[in-house]
Parts: sequence; structure tokens; C-alpha cells
Amino acid sequence: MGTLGKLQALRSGELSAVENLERFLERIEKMNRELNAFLQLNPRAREEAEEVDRRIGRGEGGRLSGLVVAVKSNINVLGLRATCASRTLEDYVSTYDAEVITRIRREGGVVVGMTNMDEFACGSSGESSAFGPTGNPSAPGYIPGGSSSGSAAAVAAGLCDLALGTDTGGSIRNPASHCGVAGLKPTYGLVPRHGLIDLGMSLDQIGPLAPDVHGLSLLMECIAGKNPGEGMMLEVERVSYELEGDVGGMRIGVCPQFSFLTDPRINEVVERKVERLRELGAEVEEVSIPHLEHALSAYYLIVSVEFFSATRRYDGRKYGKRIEEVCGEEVLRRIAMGSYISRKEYRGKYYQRALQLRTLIRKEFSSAFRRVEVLVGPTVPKLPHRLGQKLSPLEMYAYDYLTVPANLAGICAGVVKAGEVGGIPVGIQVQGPPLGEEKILRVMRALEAGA
Amino acid sequence: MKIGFEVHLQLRTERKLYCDCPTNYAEVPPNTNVCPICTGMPGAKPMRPNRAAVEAAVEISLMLGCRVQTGKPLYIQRKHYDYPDLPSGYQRTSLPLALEGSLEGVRIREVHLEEDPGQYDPVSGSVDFNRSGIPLVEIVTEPDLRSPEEARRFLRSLIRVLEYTGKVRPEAGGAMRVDVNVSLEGGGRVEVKNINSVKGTYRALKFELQRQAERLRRGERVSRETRAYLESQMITVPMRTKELEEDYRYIPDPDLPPVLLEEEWVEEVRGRMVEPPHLRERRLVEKYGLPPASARVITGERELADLFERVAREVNPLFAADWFRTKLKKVLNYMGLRAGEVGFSAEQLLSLLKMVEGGRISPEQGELVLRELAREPADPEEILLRMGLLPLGRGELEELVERVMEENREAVRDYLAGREEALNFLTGRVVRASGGRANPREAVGLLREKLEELRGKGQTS
Amino acid sequence: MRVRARGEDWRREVERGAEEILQALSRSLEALPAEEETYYLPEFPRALREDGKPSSEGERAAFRKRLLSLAPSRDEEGNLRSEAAGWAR
Repeated sequence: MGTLGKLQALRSGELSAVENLERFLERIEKMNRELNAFLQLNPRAREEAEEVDRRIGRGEGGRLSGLVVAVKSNINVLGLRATCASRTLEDYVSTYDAEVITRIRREGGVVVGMTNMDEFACGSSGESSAFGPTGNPSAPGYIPGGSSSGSAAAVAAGLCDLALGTDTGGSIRNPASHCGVAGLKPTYGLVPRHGLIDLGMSLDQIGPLAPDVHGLSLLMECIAGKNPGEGMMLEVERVSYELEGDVGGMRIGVCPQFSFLTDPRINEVVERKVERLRELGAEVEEVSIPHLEHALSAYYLIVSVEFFSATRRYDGRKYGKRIEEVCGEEVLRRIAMGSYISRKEYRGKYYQRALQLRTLIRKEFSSAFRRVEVLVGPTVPKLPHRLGQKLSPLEMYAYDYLTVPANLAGICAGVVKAGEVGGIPVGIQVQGPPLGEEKILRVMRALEAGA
Repeated sequence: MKIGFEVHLQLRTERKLYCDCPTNYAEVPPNTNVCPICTGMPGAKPMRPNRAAVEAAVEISLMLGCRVQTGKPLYIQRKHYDYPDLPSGYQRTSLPLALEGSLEGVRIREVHLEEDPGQYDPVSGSVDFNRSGIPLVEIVTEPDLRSPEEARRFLRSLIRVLEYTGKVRPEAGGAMRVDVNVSLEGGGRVEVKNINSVKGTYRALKFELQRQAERLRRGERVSRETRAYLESQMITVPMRTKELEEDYRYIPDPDLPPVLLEEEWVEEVRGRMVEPPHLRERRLVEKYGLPPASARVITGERELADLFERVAREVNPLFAADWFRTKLKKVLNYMGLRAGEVGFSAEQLLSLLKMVEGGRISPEQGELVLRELAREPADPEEILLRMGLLPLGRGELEELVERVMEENREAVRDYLAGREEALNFLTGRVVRASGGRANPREAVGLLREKLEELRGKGQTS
Repeated sequence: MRVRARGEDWRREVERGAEEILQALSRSLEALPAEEETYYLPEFPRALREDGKPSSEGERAAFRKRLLSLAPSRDEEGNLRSEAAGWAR
């Protein structure tokens, strides 16, 4: 019935928050063993839903009014385990609510549980979780993508209304694409990060995953906007999006560098959608991001340095275990890379070069957005592999080729299902300038409605 | 011998530097003034820097004559090292807020804003994060000091500057940490950490001087290393290399925007700034002609110097300075009071000084009144009355003098026989007989007058 | 998928692999034009935070309990217990 329909049912009393929750809990009970999307369920969820029902009764249900939200395991929810799917934090029980969780509660959302993910969000397949890989409900036997694997899978399998993911180099958009759901990486600095466990601090953003674009918009309206005191936040109080605008006359960019290394079958699905936008009256124009191919290298160098710094607190003295002693391979690899690059003698060669490339990418996007309002293209250059198939690290990194540029440039980018290739969902990525969320959501909504 | 300092002193704010926890860490049980931010909980983000701390560091920089780095982004850096007191595995330290100042001939290299780590007992291993995140100012000097004594004197001057702002916690409360580097001709540079007082600095330097000189004398090398000062044994010991990450892998903290010091704001701070003590000391010498030693004592505390300049407008500055250096300082020390803590007003002190200067009461009486004034502030006239110290009237004094002469005939004879010291004896008797009320100078005068009168009459009985 | 036999060999292997990956990544950046370095995206307000009344005691007391319950070791006074420092032994 869609997010808006569900919200209507909850507000009218046709469906209670408790009933809504219990339906999901039943499905989770049946499906999670297979899917492994949830690592922990919220033991207080029922109580919280009851409270929301009382609030709805008083006409104070908030924007979410009992919608059920799944939360990625790198976001603190007081009393639940934010393990980051790592042995490092397997015993860490959150001591506080992340700012986004405070906001979701205020708006009457019910946190149902903590979702599976790649360990510390280091991965694009969902396989590096210390608690086993997540399944893909839309393409059984294939990876769901990552790192917000459990959140995307939970939305795709109908185990929640909405989910929170995090996106450092594509971690919302990549699994959204592979699982056939909608996802949004907001502009850097639009959503508070207090409570988000770091991967790359200058790149990380929390964002929504949902079955439809209205769901993304709704969750954004709850979580976005500045948090007093938090340093890296834009001067935006709150957001509100109008999605039903016409895309006719909109200038939409396509970029040759997006399709260059992409599986032709994926390009074909995307091109059909671009055609559709043209039919709706959009002006499609070609623009270039000349250095796009270098973004991936710059991204991995920067994220490794920041991740190295972020993991210094996991020393096993205050909580959890010493990270290097228990973490998985990819996490150790990134710590090793970060430690190496940040050494005084190598900074110039690696880190500073990467930061220079970031400037370049930012400038190129910025000039592209002077010519077009949004950019559309594929999300992931290749189809997901089968669960368990072994890839080299560089092959794994290549999944992020088309998603990391948005993080480097700090812009917003969303994904909505464009079609399928051999039964596997393929998402189309819509990127917009900083704070261009309304524009990209409109385009995504138009694509979704015309599906 | 070359000595240079990195001095860290806590800034006085209500909230911590990057979170809203209170700063009275010494007054509460362990791990009470803490939150996810200052204990390094996963995902906790720092809040923007506390303005009061930035302002205090800027003011200190200006007082040290530094060039404040206005108009450019000053990144907050993460300095990584692994130690139990460091909850996030890095300490946040700003790029220099200011450069190139000087204090009493010692060059100041730079001034930073830092956060204090938690408190860690290296022996028991206990960790308390109450202190974690308290703002610190860090002052780095060039290696311009030449002896432990010189270093001690400089450190005292530096602390005086910092305390003048009223924006640091008193050094005596353990709010200071000193890293000192010291090298002898022909030896490597040794850094000594874990010092937290002026006395400790002096002792550590004395120890290092001796240790390094001894090694060099024996023809051994003094290698470049970092040592820790052990307060209990007054020695320094090498810190293990594992505890010393040579490369701090500085990166700008991605969670904090750089600080930007606006020219205009810095000038505002300069306008509000108090006169730095080392400049004030020089001015007191030049303006009032004070002996340097008095000027140093008087500028020891800002409030003391303020008090002095207030009274020096109405009494002889040299007389006042002498009083400050000897009597007032003595009384304050005795009572364990800082000048900023006294309850009496400048006007009350002034009226007391006027009484002494005008000879209404003796300096000794004045001191008694001062003690009372410090203990229980009141109008000095009232104190005189309360203590029964109101000066004797001429008639009363005359009566007393005559009585004392009557009772001490032998001394009177001695005097008349030319033994001047007998006069002192008689004066003492008069003062004692008056219960301290008699002004000794007046008593001497009157005694001499009466005795000479006696001599004139030729009465020698 | 996950390598569970994680001795020193495994660790060294991963670290060596990391260096190789770094070489591969940095090659891609070698020939690019020099630019300013971008640490932050985009420009953030540089406003400082005002000093003022500290956080509430109740909030901190609740947090203290959670902090201590997570700590691998602590004493009755509420200190965390860590190792003693090598140089102090």
C-alpha cells in the first residue's frame, strides 16, 4: 500500500502501531533465519508501540505515527547493541541515542531492531559481517550489496516500513540497487552524525532506505537539519519536500564516464529510464566528469586514513575488544592502509594527493551542476556476485566506482529501482548538487511512478 | 645548558572544551563529569569548541606579545597515541593560535589550544575521565633558558602572566603540566614529561643536569630520548619506546570545522585585556620609582598590584610599597590568603596607611590593625577602638611617662649618666604600660623631654 | 569467507597485501594536476559554542552507570582499571 497509505491507516486508527509492529515481528520471525537481516530485535519495541498508540489517540502521533524503523548496527540506540557487525563491539550496548534516533522517537517511529552490515561498514557485499552474511530477498543466492545490507534486505523483504542506513562511499545506494529498494545519501552535513559509528568522518552520512520515494522523503523530514553544537552541519533548520512536481523542462545530465566501465546490460536498463524522462519532457544533456575514474583511488586512501584514526578508540580498555585482535580481514586491511598512509613520510604521496583529487572531483561536479539540475546514471557498474564467491579486494572496491564520487564531492544522491537483469534488480542513481534533495527525489518519484 | 618548555595550564570555563560536562573535576567522585563525547563512546561527535576557552587562549597569546593568527583556518588536529588516559586514542590540539612572542627575554614559539586527557594513575592503572576534555592552553618556548634557577624564575613569571588573566585554574591546584626539554653541550636533547609543579620542574632539571653532566664526564653519550619524572623519588626514568609513538599521524579532525579568529574580535579581546604583569612590573619601577624587588612582589598577583596602585595615589608610593612588600604580604601569607580573596576594601587599607603615614599610630600598631583587617574587615578607626588601640592623649601619655620614670629610677639614672640605651628600655616600659596604645616615637620624644628637664634641674636623686 | 585462522602470518599477509593495494591506488593519482587539498566539504559555519551552564547531573549519573557496566574492569570508587604504565613499574 506504500508508505503514505500505511501512514494514513495508522493515523486513522485503521491499523494500530502495535498491530503494525506485530505483523512485522511475525514476518521477521519467519524470514530472518534465512535472511540474517537483523542482528538484534528491540525487546522494548512493543512497549514503545503502545506508547505511540496512546500518542496517536491524543493526536500526537508525530510524522511517523507508529511506522516501524530498522536501524543499521553502526547507529547508537540506547540499550541495544551497536556492534558494527564486529567482534570488536559484540558486547557493546549503546549508552546513548544517536541524534537521528532521538528525532525518530520524537516523531513516533518504533525502532524494531538492529540490522546486519559489513563489518564497520567496510564492504560492498554484506559478506564481511562477523555474524554471517545477509541474504538478498529480491535475488536469492546473490549478495544484497553493502554495507547497509540488513537495512536494504529488511525493506525489500517487508520486515519494516523504513530503515536507516549509512553511506560513506555508496553503502546505502549499493544495497538499495541490488535489493530493488529506494535509498538516499543526503548532502554531507544535512543529517546529524552524532551517534553514528565512524568509517570516514568527512564522508559518512546517515540516510533512509524505503520501499518508495515517499518513504525516503518522510524519513528525511524527520532526521535532517542541524544539531546545535555538532560541528560539521549545514545551516539548515528542517527540510520539507514536495515530490509531485513536474519533471518536464528539467535539465537532466548523463555522463559518458558513468557508462564507460559499466556492464552493458545495466546501461541498457538505465538508458530505458533516461528515455522515459525524456518522454516526460525533461531535457537530457551530456556532461563530463573528466577525472571520475580516479575518484575510487582517492576515496580508498582518504577513508583508510580516517578509519585508522576512528578505530584508535577501540583499545579494549573502556568497552569491547582491541580491534586489531578480533576484527576481520577487510577491517584490518584498511587499518593497515590508513596507518601506512598517515605516516609522516608518506602523507604527501598518498593522503595529500587524494585530498587534491577530491578538490578536482568537487570542482567537476560543481561545474556539471551549473549546466544541469541533476545527473542520472547507473549505481553499481556490475551485477552482484553469488554469495560466497571470492573476490579480490580491488575487485570488491570496484563495486563502488560510481557511488564514491558523490561522497567525495559532498553532494546528494539517491537510488530507485530501474528494472532487472535476469531477475536481479538494477537501480538508477540520481545525483544532485548540495541540498538538491528535493530535485533528485522528484526525479526518482517520476521514475518510480512511471515504472 | 639549554632548556625549553611546553607548559600546559587548564583554562577556567564552566563547560568542557568539546562537550557540556562541568569542569569541577577535582570535587566529584571518579567518572562523574562524563558523557559519551569525553569518554570516547563509539559514534560520539565533539561539539564545536567552547568560545570562552578560545578567548582565554587568545588573551594569553596577546599578553605574551604573540602574533595572533587571524583570518586563516586554524585546524583542530588529532594527535594520535595510545595511552589509557586518552579515551579516543587521539588528543585534539589546535594549530598555533599565535606565534612569536616573548616574556622576559625568553622567546615564545607558539600557543595552542588543547584538551586535557583523563587522569590515569600509572602505578595502579586506574582511569578517571572527569578531567578529560578540560581546555588547556599550551605554551611552547624556544630553548632560551640556561639553568634550573633561570628556568624556575621564568616558569613563575609565565604562571603569573597566565594567572593575571583570571582565566586559568591556579597552578597550585595541579592544573599545570610541564614538558621540559634539556640538553647539555655535546649531548642529545632529552624531553622530560610528567611534571606538574614549579618545584617538580626545578628538581627534574637539577636531576637531569647532574645525570647528563655525569654521563658526559664519563665519556658516555647522552642520547635523544623521552623520560618521565617520578615525583615521589625526585628522579627521571626513561619511558619505554612502546609508550612513545614517535609519529603522531596528525590529521585535521574531520568532525570539527577549523577555528577562524576574526581580526576584529581579537582586537576586542586586546581592548579588554589586563596589563601583563611583566610590563606592569617595569612600569611600577619607572612610574613610582619602586625598588625592583618591591615591584616584583607587588605584581605577583594582579589584585595586589591593583590595590597598590589605588593607594599609591594618596600615600607616598615608596612608603606604600614597603608596606606591601613587608607587612601586607606577611599577613596574607600567614593567613594563606591570595590578594584576590581579601575582604577589605582599598579604601579601608588606604585609611590605615594614612594613619601610619601621618604618625597617628605606629607601624607596629598598624600591623596589628592590618591583621585584624584581614581577619575581619571593618573600618580601621573602628578596629582601633575595638582593640583599645586609640592613641593616648597627650595628658595620658605624660602621666604614664612620669609613672614609668618614677618606677624605674635606676634607668633614669643610667640615662642621665649618658647611657642612651636606657631610653629604649624606658620607651618599652611606657609602651607596655599603655597596653600597646602608646606610639613609641611619641613616647621617646616625651621621655627625652622629661629626662632633659630633669637634667636641667640638676636633680639626680 | 572469513579467515578464522588468524595468526601472525595472517596479519602480515593482510598488511603486505594492503601495501600492494596502496601502490595500485596511488598509481592512479600520480599524473594528476596539483590542486589545493580539500579536507572539508563544504564550507561550514565556524561559529564557536558558548560557555554556560553544564549538562544535567541526572543525565550524567545515568550515563555513568552505563559506562561502568561496560568497562572490562573498574573499582568501587568508580575508576576504570587499565594496565599500569611500564615506566612506573
